[in-house]
Amino acid sequence: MSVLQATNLTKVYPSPFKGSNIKAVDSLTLEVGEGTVFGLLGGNGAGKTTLIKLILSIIKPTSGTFTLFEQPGNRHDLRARIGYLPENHRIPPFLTAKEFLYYFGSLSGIDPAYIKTKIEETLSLVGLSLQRDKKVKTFSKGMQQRLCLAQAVIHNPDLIFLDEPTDGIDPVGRKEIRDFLLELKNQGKTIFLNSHILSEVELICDSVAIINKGVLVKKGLVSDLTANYDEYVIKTGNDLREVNYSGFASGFNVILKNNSELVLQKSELEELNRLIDEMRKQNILIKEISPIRKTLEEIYITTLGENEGAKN
Amino acid sequence: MKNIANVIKYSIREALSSKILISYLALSLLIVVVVLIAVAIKGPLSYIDENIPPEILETEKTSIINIIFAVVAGFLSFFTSFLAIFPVAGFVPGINDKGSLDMLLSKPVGRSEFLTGRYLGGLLIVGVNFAFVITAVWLIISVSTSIWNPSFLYIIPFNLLSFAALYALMFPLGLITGSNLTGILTYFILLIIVNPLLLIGHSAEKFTGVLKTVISAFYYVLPKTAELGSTALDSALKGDPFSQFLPLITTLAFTVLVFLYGIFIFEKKDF
Repeated sequence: MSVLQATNLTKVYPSPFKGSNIKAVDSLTLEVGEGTVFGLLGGNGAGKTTLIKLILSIIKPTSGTFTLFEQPGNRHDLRARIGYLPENHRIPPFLTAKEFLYYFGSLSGIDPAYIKTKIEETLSLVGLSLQRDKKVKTFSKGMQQRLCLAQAVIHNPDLIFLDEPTDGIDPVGRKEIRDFLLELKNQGKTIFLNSHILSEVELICDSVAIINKGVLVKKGLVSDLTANYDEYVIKTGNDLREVNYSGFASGFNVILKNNSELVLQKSELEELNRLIDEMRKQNILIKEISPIRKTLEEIYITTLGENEGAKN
Repeated sequence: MKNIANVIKYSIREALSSKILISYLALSLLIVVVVLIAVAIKGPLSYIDENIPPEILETEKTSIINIIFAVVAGFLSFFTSFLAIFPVAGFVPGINDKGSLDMLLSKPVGRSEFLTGRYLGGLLIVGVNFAFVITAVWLIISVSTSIWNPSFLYIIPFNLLSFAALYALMFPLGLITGSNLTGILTYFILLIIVNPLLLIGHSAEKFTGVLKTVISAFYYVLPKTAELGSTALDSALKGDPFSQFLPLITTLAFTVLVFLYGIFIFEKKDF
């Protein structure tokens, strides 16, 4: 089931100067499946936050459509199934943690009979049980972020939008938030994550999309995008220096690594199979063959570079 | 309705945390205390007994006390209306709640419900304060003079209606300008200058022609806060609050239309 589907979504901010309108999101089409963790990558000003705000109807699209849970996306009752952690949030400082969750939980449609239990559960989930009666203005940035995360999940939403959830958080806090997100993932929640911390996205997300200046430039499964299908590593059970390595490998673009591994570079699948045949002829024990993975950061930088190059 | 009630509760909690509301409530309490002390030291009756000839007092006692009621009503009307805008001016969305508005708008609450909740939350705070101050002062004067003039209490709804009309105008103004300064200034200009002048200008015979038409047009379009105030004074004096329906109807119509316009802007606005 598609939890979110956007079709040609466009947001143009008009400018008083003729011809200088700003296209924050440009004909963006994407789909997020149920139970997946989707990462939206892009630099500052790429249009990531604008896209989330469009989907949450905080801003109106100039053109294009979107659906949530296969229903027209602008229906405000659907937001009962959505949680949102904004990037630059400001929790009303006069509220205590408990009051904040009470008001925002009530507005999320939680039954008043259960709200107190839900508040306790959620505070415990984000590790703020001991601070329940403290005013938000006394909270550190990390605690405020966790409290805000709590308001995003208190009503047990099916789809959660997180805009830079670890921004400004120390490494320990980041790990805690990441673990919390993985827990949500295990519960089968669909998570839409905006982040420019790519290592984090790589750890959590199933699929990603990269946007640049409002345009979607790449999307796919993280495993597909990071796999480099023209480079393979072949792990063997032999010390390749002891066999006739240079003989069978001479026709291939290979590098010996750690004495027992061969890295086959810039080759087709056919070539890989021929190399395997040669190695088996030499009675070399093949333990594992895998494509060499690139990091998401490398993919991101390459993609943006290609995109900018294509524009110029 | 549940959503509106939740937004009202949130707005009241927000207001209670503000020093402005505390100061506003403290000033209101001060008025009541001052009236109470004034009555305790030298009650209105003893003042009347000492200064009004007995032959007049014999027949006009109730009228004289009603004049006292009217003077107090005038003062209370102006004072409470003058101050009322401060504690609730920030309820216009996007002014004081930048940063939390995104979170609020992502909730399953319609924008019209949200705006209505904010507006009603403001009216509730101001209305409760009006009711408290005016009822307390009425009780003090009535108990001390043994003359009960319930028409005095008509100041509460009349004052609230005047406030509701001008407060409704703050929503579209605040949403368009992104600041509550314009709204507050407009509130005072209409309350203190424009509306009283329009009331005088509309009834004055020396204005004729185009000028008269312009004055009349503004007079009919804008809320009649000055006229509602004078009706409230009349009610305190004579006990007949509904002598004129036009100010009530046009002010109500203004309130509804302006607030609906505020909703229209809020529905369309990007945050």
